[in-house]
Amino acid sequence: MADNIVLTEGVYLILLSLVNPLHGYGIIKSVSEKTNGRVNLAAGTLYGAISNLLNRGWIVELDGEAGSRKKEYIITEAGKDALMTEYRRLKELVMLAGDVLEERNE
Amino acid sequence: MNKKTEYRLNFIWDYDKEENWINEEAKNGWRLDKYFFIKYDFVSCEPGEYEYRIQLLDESANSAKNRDYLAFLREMGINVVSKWFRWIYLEKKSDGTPFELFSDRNSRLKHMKSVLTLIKTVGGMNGFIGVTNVLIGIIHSLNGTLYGSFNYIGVLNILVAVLSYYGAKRLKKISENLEVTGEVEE
Repeated sequence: MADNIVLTEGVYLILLSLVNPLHGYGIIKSVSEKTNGRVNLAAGTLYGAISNLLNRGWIVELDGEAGSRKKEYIITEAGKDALMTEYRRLKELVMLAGDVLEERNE
Repeated sequence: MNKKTEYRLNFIWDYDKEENWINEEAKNGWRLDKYFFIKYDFVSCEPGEYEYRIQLLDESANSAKNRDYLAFLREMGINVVSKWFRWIYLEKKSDGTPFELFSDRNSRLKHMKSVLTLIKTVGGMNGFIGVTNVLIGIIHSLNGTLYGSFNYIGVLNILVAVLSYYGAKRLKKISENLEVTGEVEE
């Protein structure tokens, strides 16, 4: 997997939510809760993101329970790798700024 | 339950205005029941009970891919009121948060660009047919054969092409504003 891929905020949060299996509406709720209501994914945007992540093999559809038509998704190992890479990138950026900004505040 | 029918000519490039108009009707207690070309059928509802969005799909609403998309929307409580070529009219019961189909700039831009492509195709085709018809009309009138009816059709085509051009310009401007808002880029 390429190391220079940058995830959008939406994709990052969707991957993070899918550490547990969720259906579409569950993802929207989870992302909204995680960000205290700041990020509210809209249905069309989420659908596009899910298709994209399925194509990349970063998430998979779970076999639905009998009688349930709602599809559930979960993150794959490749998805976890991508999330981890992005987490490290963000952490590095935060630390870089921290070094400069915290110093100035003292 | 009361019913009413409104007739309104909405151009592709004004689909956002059409959306606003349908949402205004809903605020006044009219729920969109059916749409066909220029005919909008409404039934009465509680004022503000429903909200609407119009989307241009990348292929037919009946394709396997889009049936899957529509099923996904249904899970979110978003239902299709009407289909018109590749356009779908979507309804959602108001739940306090505004009904949006797209929540980031990329997906919003992508949708707007597909609308722009459609306008350019329709406008371009009309422009070509229009000019061809006017030329045929002129040749016929020079030769004294047939009537000049090709001219009238041709002029109509050219009119559609010119309208499309200005419509596309309007949407392009909106999409360019989308491109500059929000993020600071390199």
